[in-house]
Amino acid sequence: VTVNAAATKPLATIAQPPEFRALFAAEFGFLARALLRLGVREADVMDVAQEAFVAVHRELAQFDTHQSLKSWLYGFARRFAANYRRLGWHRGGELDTHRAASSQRLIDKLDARSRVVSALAQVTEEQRALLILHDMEGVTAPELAAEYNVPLYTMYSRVRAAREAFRTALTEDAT
Amino acid sequence: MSELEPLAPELEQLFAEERRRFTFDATATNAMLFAIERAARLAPLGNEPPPQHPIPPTAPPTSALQHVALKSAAWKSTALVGLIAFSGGAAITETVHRLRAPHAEPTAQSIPAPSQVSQPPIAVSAAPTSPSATAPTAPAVVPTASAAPNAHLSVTAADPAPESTLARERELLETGRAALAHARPDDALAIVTTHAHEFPRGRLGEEYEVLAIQALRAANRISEADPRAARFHHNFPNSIYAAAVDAR
Repeated sequence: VTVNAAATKPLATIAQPPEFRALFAAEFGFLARALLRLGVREADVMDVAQEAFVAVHRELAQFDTHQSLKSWLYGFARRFAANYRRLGWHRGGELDTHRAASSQRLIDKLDARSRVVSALAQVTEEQRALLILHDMEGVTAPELAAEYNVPLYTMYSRVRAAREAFRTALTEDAT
Repeated sequence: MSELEPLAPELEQLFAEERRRFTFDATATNAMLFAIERAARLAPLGNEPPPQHPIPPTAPPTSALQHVALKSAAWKSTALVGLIAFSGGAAITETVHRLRAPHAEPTAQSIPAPSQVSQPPIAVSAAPTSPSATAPTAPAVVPTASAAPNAHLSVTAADPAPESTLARERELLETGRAALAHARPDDALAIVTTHAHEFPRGRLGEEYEVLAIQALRAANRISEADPRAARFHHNFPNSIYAAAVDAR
């Protein structure tokens, strides 16, 4: 009698999609930060994040556990930030940088944030993803190489190129 | 080809500064979690199309709100139910029309005004009004119309009776949750009893059971709460409220 190997595999060894609450607790900050970096205003970020997480909840069963969770979630951030921009939630408003800042330290921080958002907006979509995931959120290059299905060294070059483009954008903004 | 160089110091510093900007209010995120889970409650499991794609309007005209909910994006259903529970008829009709517009004008007009939606229908935490530097908006359970501009809500075709029943169940539930949030667990328990009488086969039995268990715990009636929680796990083995029921 031949037994299907998969049928005898104990259930516990089959990778389950992450439990939503745990995911929410661990990754809320990541997704919200990504939304802000993709141009969502602070005043709107909670609303947009909520919508994004409703979608995450809905699609959680389809998450491939071999995939990078952060990359997968980044896809939601990208999608909802794009919707946000397209539908004009911000009503033509600027980023929050114009808000009166009470101290020099706060101004510096606001400035860092707006510089990053502005420079990110000027690089390609993939470069933006790589900068946010790799350089800002610490997703490793091997993980990203697997995600993008390219050799590791190709991924290194792409990260390098992304940094270069980002730096150019920063410099151009400054002048 | 060499390994990837570490980030240049000035970029490192810029990113570090940028990162310091982010803090999120725990009360707000907790409230959000509940709102998300409630939205998900009304959605089918796992077979929802992504928000960008239109949902084929296959609902037969006799279908009830629940059916609409199953066919629509989860948050929209919640939005409707929430609005039905919390506002007058005129506002509902207006909002439904807005939501139904397949290609709503991408301006503020197509979005429910914040004042309409900002009252959190669920008082998960007693004071969601606490100000937060980075999260100035209370999480509105009714999101602004954006994610599924093409989704079709065939609400007007639905039979109104079950709709209002569900709305009443939900309204009562929110009242109970508010009572619990304001440290009145006995009131919350009374509402659970009212619900059981009024809707012996109600659709939100699971939610009311969660409320009852949480209220028993809040009232320090642990000897009643624990067996009831065990029964809950037995009756709803896959409940998304499993953790909430066990939280002490």
